[in-house]
Amino acid sequence: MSETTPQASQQDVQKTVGMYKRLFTILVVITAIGIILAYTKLSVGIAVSVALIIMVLKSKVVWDSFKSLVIGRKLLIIVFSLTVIFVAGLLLGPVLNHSGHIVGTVDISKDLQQDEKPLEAHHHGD
Amino acid sequence: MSNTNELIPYIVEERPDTGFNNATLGIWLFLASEIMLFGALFSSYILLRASAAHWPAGASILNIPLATLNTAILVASSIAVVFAWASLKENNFGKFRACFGFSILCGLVFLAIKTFEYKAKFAHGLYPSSHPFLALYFTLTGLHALHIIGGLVVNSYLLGPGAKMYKHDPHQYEHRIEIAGIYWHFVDLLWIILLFPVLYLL
Repeated sequence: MSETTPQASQQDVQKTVGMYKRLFTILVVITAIGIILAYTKLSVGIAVSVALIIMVLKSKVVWDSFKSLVIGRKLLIIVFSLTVIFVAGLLLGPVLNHSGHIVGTVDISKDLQQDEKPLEAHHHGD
Repeated sequence: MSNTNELIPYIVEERPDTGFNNATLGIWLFLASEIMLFGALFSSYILLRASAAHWPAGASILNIPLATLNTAILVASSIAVVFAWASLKENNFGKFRACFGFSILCGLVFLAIKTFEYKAKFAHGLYPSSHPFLALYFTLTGLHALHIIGGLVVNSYLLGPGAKMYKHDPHQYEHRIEIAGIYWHFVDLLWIILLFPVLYLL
């Protein structure tokens, strides 16, 4: 919800409601595209790339909607910049380690491979 | 309540140094910590997926139609919260109650569907210990469900006993709904942007 002053005009309220309607409509459309893609037979690489593009698109739409709450507020910018750095660092850990394990930890990939079970054998329609 | 406002400053008005009041600053800091929490779990997902020789497609194990329905329910819930907030701004308390109540109902339906999904998995012998994918699925969706439950508790309080505040301090009550709404949108967006695509569609 956008922060409004006690005297916020009805126009501001309607503007905010319109922004939310637009945001969720776009998210629903992008999600629908994602669902359609989930049923198409794509290779793992393409599927992951498409999923990442969809996630980035959604994040961009959300950011565009909420940036007015953040921009100009130094404290929030600092807090969220640190958050992004933290999450990016966490994500880069596994991505930069081609051997499949994080430096300083044991290599669990062999154990994981041994533990693999053909889950599709349990496939069901719920 | 007016005594409380005198004892605790910046409940509604903004602090000049930060530009926020207590609740707004609190909710944004809380959401930043939540992003870190789910970011860590998402990182675990990437690590485990990259390490695994075999990784099942979500569609082969999980029920996409049910999850799609749950996504639609959360979107409806978020929009209902926006309408509830707008109704308060228009001094239409009756419409607010209807919209806010509907969003709570949506949250309950979401949890009911999630419970149904969990039961189906357990019935087929699929537990968190069965595979890293399922461990992540139950951890991420379970944690998200706990967030929904937390939001429902707060929203139910605001709709029930907490609504008395509207009579004597409507502005602070509006502010509480605004803060609760920000949290609710976060929980919904978390599902729409991260959990649904990563677990069900990849």
